[in-house]
Amino acid sequence: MNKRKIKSFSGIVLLGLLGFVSCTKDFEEINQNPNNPVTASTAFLLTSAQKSLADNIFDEWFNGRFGNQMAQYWASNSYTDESRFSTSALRTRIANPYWRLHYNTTLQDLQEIIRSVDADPRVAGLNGNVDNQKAVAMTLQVYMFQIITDTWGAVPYSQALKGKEIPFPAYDDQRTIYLGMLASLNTANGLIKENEPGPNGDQMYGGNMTQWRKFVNSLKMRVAIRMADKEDALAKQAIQEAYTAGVILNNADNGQFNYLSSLPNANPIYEDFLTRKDFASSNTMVDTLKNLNDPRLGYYYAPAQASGTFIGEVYGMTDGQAASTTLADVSQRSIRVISADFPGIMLDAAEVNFILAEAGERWNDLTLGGTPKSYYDAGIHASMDFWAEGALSSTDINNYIAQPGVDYDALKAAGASWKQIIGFQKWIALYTQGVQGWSEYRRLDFGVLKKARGLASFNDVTKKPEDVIPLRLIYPSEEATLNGVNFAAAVAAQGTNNLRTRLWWDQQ
Amino acid sequence: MKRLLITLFWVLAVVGVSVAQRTVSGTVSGDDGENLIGATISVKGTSSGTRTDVNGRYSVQVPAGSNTLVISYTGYSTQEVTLGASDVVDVELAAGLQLEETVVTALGITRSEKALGYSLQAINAEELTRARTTNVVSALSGKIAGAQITSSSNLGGSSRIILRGARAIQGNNQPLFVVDGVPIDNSNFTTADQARGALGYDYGNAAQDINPDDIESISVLKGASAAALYGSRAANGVIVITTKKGTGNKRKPVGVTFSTDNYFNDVAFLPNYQNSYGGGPDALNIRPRGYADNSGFYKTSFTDDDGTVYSSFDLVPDYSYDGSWGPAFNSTAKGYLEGFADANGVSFGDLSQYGGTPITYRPWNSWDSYDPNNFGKSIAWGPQPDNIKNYYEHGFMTNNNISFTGGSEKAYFRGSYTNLYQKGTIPNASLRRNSVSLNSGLQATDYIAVTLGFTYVQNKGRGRGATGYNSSGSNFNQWFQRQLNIEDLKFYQNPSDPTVQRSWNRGSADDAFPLYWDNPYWWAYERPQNDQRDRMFGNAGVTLKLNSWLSLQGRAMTDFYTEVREEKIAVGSVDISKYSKDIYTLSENNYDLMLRANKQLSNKFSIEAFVGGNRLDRKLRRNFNSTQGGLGTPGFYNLSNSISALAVTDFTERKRINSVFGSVSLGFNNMLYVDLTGRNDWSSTLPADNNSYFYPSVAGSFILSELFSENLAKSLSFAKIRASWAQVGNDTDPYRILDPVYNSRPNFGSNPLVTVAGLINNPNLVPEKTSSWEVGTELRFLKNRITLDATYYNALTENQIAQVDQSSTTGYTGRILNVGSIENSGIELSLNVVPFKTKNFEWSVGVNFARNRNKVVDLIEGVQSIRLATFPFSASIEAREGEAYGTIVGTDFTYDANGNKLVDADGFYVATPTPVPLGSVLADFTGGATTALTYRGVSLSILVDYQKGGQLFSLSNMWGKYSGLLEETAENGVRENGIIAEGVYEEGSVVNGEDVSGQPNKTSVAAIDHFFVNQGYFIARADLYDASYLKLREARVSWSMPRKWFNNKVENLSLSLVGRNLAILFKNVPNIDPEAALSAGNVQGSEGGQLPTERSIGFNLTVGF
Repeated sequence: MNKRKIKSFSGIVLLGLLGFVSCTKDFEEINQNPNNPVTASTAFLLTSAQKSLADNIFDEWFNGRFGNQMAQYWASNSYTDESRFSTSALRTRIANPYWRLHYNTTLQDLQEIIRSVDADPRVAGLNGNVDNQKAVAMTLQVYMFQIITDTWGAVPYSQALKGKEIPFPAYDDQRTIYLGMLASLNTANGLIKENEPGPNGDQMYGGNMTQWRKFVNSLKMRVAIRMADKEDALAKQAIQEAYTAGVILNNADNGQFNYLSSLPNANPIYEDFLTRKDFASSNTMVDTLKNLNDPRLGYYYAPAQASGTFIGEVYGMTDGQAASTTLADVSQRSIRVISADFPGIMLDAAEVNFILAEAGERWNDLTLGGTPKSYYDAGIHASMDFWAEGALSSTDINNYIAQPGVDYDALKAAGASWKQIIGFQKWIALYTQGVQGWSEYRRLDFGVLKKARGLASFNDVTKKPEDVIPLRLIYPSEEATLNGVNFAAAVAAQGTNNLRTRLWWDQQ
Repeated sequence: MKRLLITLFWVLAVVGVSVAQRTVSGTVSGDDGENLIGATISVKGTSSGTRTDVNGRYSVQVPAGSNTLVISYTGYSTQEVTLGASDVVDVELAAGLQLEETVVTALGITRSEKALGYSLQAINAEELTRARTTNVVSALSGKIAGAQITSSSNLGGSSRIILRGARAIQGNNQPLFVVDGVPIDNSNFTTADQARGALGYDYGNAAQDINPDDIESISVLKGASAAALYGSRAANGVIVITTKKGTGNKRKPVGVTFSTDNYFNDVAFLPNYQNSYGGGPDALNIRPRGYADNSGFYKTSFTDDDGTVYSSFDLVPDYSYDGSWGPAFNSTAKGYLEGFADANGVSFGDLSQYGGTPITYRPWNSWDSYDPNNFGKSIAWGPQPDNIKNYYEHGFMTNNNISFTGGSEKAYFRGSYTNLYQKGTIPNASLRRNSVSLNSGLQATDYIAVTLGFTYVQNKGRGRGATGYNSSGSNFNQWFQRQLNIEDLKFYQNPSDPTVQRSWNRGSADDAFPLYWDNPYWWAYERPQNDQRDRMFGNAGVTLKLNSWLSLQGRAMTDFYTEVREEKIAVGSVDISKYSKDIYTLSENNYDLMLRANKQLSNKFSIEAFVGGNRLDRKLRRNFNSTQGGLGTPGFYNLSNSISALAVTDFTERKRINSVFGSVSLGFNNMLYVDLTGRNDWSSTLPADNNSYFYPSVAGSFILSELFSENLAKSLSFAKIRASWAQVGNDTDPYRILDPVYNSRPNFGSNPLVTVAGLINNPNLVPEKTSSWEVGTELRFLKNRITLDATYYNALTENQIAQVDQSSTTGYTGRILNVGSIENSGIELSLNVVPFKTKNFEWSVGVNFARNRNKVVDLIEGVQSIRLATFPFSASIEAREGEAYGTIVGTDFTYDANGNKLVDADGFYVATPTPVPLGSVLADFTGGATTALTYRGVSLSILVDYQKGGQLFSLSNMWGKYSGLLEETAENGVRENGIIAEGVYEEGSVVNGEDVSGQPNKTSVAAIDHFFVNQGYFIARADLYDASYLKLREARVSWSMPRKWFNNKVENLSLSLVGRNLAILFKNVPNIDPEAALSAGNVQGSEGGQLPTERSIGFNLTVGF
């Protein structure tokens, strides 16, 4: 190359380069995200939502350290802060993450199903009848919202899940939420088309819309009965409607999330148990079952390894007290409760029977097809049938029911109120559904629950259990920064943001 | 072209035999006869240049067509030498006023230092390798004014450097590393958990692949203006690294240098432990329960508090309690049993038989029949002061380098091979690194010059210690029992079943499986991680000389690597067994073309200018696979051994930036210089209508001393003032524009799962913008015996793009926004003094100091704070409006009006109800000081560096107190007498029926409760510490032997004794090293499970032929 050629070559190269670097037409392709899908099948969303729902309410944190501790179904062997109602632990380990998970995973995926169905029913319809899909999504949202509001009280509801339009959602009071949930369930019930295909991806009923209708109406009963002290007429009407439309009266119709037998799709409690031994039985429940000769004792818990007898671990110990309790000396959870495919029980026949028993007591002019006692007995039967898986005969169960400490009429004659009788057996039957057991304790005030052994109040005779047991969970601290104005308004309206502020439905 | 390729091939292939390029060598001395070390030799009109070595010798390649050398040295008149026939040119410089030090600036351009309108600090190779580290970043500690360098103590771990403060809320705040024009990736692909102080391995920052042995010089461009030409990433500053080039001369066309460094590394210090109490939750917890009887020491009947009767018993500590609040070591058996009986109402029968014998007990390893040495045996209850110390081994590092250089007037060549091996102080930990590099150039014709350089590095790590709060083996500064003998733990598995782990915190007599965390030896030997990074970076360039002042240069640069990380959890570990393989593949290619002009317009005016373009293509792939549900076959670490379906992350990220840039530098009369630059970028990551951004800079310098009278110049020999202003744009991460986004989740059985992603993207993003200015001066006094450099700077970064948390009740947890701005301002000073200097002896002192003020100026409406991370348990690190970046936020004590801490009626401190800002991780000021004494070939040098201020949260201190391990938990009788926390009762406190509000606290609480409830777990402030330190970083004695000793057959031979990290002379945080980096990311200020700092002592031997 001579000098002249070099010069012209250089000029061409330089011009070429300028063209090369200023070309941006493949930028759009380069910035196309290859890591995340941009469309989502409503079936995939539903399975995801159901799994998130179950994982987040049945795992070792929300249920293990929180729900089952609040209901005193379990006690802690170590890291006992939550069982002693430590506000710091409850807030940082439970409130912060689960508030986020309930809204951001479960509710959001369900909302996305509703959005997709509305936006493009033709595509969404490939995964089942769109009305049925919408009904299931709405129902599961109510299921989740009720747990959220029963845990915290006032929460974002009507303005929630509108991330792009409403970055700072206002909180609704609990009454508004309850009325809203009831309306949603009515809509869902109206949408269900039993002759059309149910949603694909459904892990609860496999798309069986007849069973879904029962679930919708049973949930309507759960919602209605919980607000019965405050909205008598509405609750009464809802329960009659639900009963007429059909509810879960047999275990075959139970609403449950069916875990698989291997990780990562096994029950989260199983996975936790593989590496941690933080929870054992609670003496609150063990002593209760022992006193009643309750055959469920051996299905709920395992005998203590050292003695072969049932010894409940003392509820609410300090870390030091817990540390000096040897695992082998106390009853642990039963093999079934910690097994891989133990289902997440969401709403079962036992509970519905107890609701009907209570409805009969509250309103004697309803048509419910049975008496309070017959539904009370049926609730115990359903619970024992489920736990014993048929190993208990009807006679065994009837013998149990005939005991003076269980017999409905005998207890009444002895002066017990229906709230105590039904609430107490319902609490036993709600085992593993921590938040539900705790909610019924708060609502029906049947006693039973103990003060935490490791708190100063344990030895303070002036303090009864109902003076110290938490009535709600503190809001997650991040709400104060991320949604400050609405958060402050909610606290101002509801009362101090502590564990002892009473929820709306919780009549004193 | 063909001829060119053939020539190039030939040059590269035939090592050491080269056609001659002209190389000139010689010695530079001062007019007093002493040889000048570090004098600059540049070939006029080219970018070729070098510095003299410790003997004042140099060797430089002179491209064809050049025939003038410019030799300069601080305090001496710059001299130009026209080359004649001889290739040996010795120069004597006259002490004088003229200065012409040259430095390497942006884009590798050599500039006269006095022409720079911005601050630049240069470091030569010798300074860098004299006290070797495995990481080039940590080697810079204390040497650069304005750099905050935080190095971890992890083997091959991270070092973080930030210049002039943190600029970005999220995203990278570290400077760009450039080696011979190649931008070097410095990623730190660490997990969010590792960075915040939860379990993880620190794999280090990727710039540690740069081999210090190959470095000729480093220029640190601190401000945005120096960096405007490198693009957005340079807004944090640039570390411009120039590698050694080959030289040779007729006398010696090929040279060989061998250098070896050998260091012995030991743990420098450990926390102060208490040695008075053993394991367990309370003073009376050695219990005879849960363990079978066999040949115990005590034989008597015993009834425990449950009423169970034992016919014989042994005392057994509570191994299920992970702490040391147990019985005192000085208890006697009789006294102990009496106390135990009283407390529990039990009877031991006649205790007189025990007399005053100390307690003996059955240790954890006495219950397994496969351990016959210990089975059934009791031992005395006593402390093991060195149990943690003895876990650590002697570490060792050897680094060996051999390099070949060659050159002639047409070509040059340097090849280098370095092997580094380091044995860690943790058992079974090692690091290996092999580097091969080649640098070559060829003047093919008068008009065409080509250069080619590449480096291949292979990095292998094994058994890096896990950091953070976790179940890892080296957890014993958080949880342990003080009576444990570490030697016993070496027997960590059942010999007849290697999947059965054996550890001290066993649940029962017949089950040696640990309750909480793995035996440290099990962790080290049964589940070490492995990693390997294979990397290549290099450049190829062609320069066409168009005429005497115009040239065209084209370059292609690449940096690519594959990194494989394997993590293992053995069957038999506390966690579910697992094997994961994480593969990162990164490539970055840059292509640029520049037209350069360099012309002396008249006697007084000179101009240097260029225009060019660049394309950057970056691609990152990550393929992470992990077994789920455990491993089928124990010991078989392969993805196919997964019991359940694999967990998969399959990730690809691409980015392209196109740029055009230009620069004009004007000089007038060697006195006034002005630089103008401009650059425009187009980035693929921004919205189409906002993806172009322009950034200009202007810089000027004025040499005041040119106007000085000769008299004044005698005392103030040089004075310069400089000023610059620059603006730098910036883009963002890929894929932040378009919605909707879903995430795939692992299938549920055969059902696929898809969930809505938690992030809202933003189609309206605009580029970030940093505007900065600086002014500075450089003054030299008394023939340069005193030099002072001072800079003041200010930088404002606006339109920061960040992921902002959003209330999850919206269905999303975050959104991408242009969120706000951060301002940094500060001063940098460096002062060098030569108090004493003769022909043979010199004493010099250098000090540098920098102070940076940082503030998050404003955030958009509705956002008060952006959380960077939440530390385990107690605190978080945030960017809060009105506070410094990196503010640690957590609960504080509450105080009365007089500043007394408030306690409640139970005697515990009252925490603030919500988290509050506690302090920033950024230092108030940083710096270093060196001093050197040189006598002929012998020199002694010492480097100290310091940081004042900056906060850190120490999880090790928090748990160390809670678990009763640390000395303060056993001082002053606190365990026996309890503790009265210093403070006053809060309003409304009632004690024994009396209102004690505002009175001094008199309520005593148990020590174990005090060290939990009154510490960082509940009140983050209690374990927040000042991270100030003063460290004796390096000390070195070296001896360069005279050449004549070896009949001139050896070019140089030097021997040094070196110490590194010798001592922490001052610190404010107890028990840990305040330089507590866990990773190199923005999440700093969390110390958790820090691995102990190592002290290195060793020697270097260098021989050149």
